[in-house]
Amino acid sequence: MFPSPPPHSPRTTLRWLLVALVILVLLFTSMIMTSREREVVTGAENVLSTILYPFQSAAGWVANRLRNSVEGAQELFHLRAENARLRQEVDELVAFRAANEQLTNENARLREEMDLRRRFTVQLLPAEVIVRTPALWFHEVIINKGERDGVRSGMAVINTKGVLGTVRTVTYTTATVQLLTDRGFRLMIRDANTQEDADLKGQGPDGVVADFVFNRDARIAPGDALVTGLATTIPPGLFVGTIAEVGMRENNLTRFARVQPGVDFNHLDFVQVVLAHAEPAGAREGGKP
Amino acid sequence: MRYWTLLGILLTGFLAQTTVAGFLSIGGASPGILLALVASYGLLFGWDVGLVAGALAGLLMDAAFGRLVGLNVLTLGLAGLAVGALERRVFKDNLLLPLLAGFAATLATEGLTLLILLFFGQAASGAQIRQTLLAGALYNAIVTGLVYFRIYRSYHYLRPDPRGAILVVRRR
Repeated sequence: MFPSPPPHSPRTTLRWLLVALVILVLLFTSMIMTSREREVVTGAENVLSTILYPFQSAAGWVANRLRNSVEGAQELFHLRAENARLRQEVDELVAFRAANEQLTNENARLREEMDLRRRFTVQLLPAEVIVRTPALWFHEVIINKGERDGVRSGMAVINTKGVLGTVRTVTYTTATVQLLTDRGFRLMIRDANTQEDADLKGQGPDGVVADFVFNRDARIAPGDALVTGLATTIPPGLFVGTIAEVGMRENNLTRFARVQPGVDFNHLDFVQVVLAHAEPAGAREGGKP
Repeated sequence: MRYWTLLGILLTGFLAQTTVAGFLSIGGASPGILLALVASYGLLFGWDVGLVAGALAGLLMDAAFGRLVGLNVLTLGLAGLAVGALERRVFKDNLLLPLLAGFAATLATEGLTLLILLFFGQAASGAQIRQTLLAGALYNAIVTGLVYFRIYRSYHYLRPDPRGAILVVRRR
């Protein structure tokens, strides 16, 4: 038989307790320091991200192709109906494009006349989702474009259905995108019909809610389209979603709307980062100083 | 103990957790491969191995995905410690053991995570707690069962008997 280990002396126990206490204090200090919004990642995060990048990229590539193949096989059964629907959509889009061009020209002319303070130069950077963050409480994805590609914290990330989130942190090779549904997500949005501004908040599995804090009598209705509002790094007018339900907060001061995001968060594979750079007033050609 | 092999398994688990786990989510819950490994290490090799494995796994997760750096070190380290404390009190070949350990460890780690998030002002709704916590705990119970029995099959390789192998020689 092996002899049982000698019991710890009170002094040893006290020493271990002190070590545990110091570790706990260090951990909580680290959590407090990183709990605030931060744009810069630590050196360790950057190094680990660079090491993981090829593995994540490969796994994301396989997972995305696999999912697309499965969905493609499923869609084969509905091809005829899908084709008819797409033809109708193309017809509508041709008409929409003509109207859009007219509006764009008119918008540019009006902007020139009004001498708006800021104008955005928009460039889209295609990216692929390589990782979905495994943490249960956070709704985030990692994309395969980072600092080296010009991605910066706060930039909007979109797909063909609308805005899906904003870039939270950037490493050299990757960027973490905070989705609309994440509890920490905030974005200024605007009702496209009535031009009422609102504060969009992620609610986890409960979806997304917009608070119309500036006007308790905001004229909003289910079905209204919501677009990005005034922000420093996101161009205004990007489609976010539609209002699904309207209500009044318990304090009777704020109207809120449950938002149906345009994006299907279960099918995120290819996205585009909006590389928007705000130009100061007077920077553009012909602008007044 | 073959610590380098255990470390290799843990790093492979980390790689799987950071690459494929997110794509295998069901009902909003991703499989906690690292939690399953930490719980298995604790149950099979004791609290000290569980604690170190948990802290190391947490450190890697914090460096890769950390919103609150230190959160995973704390929760996974404590999970390894708590599960490992049971090592000498349970039968290691019990089928229910890893399932219960995976379920309880998920509830405990995610419960603690939730408390810390609330402390930092990141509230969660009742629906989120019910959906995410229960789905995650059930998912992780199954994953822990699979991981545990795979490691258990290699138990004598990973933790050789300190008295050495018994050599049986047949007399002619």
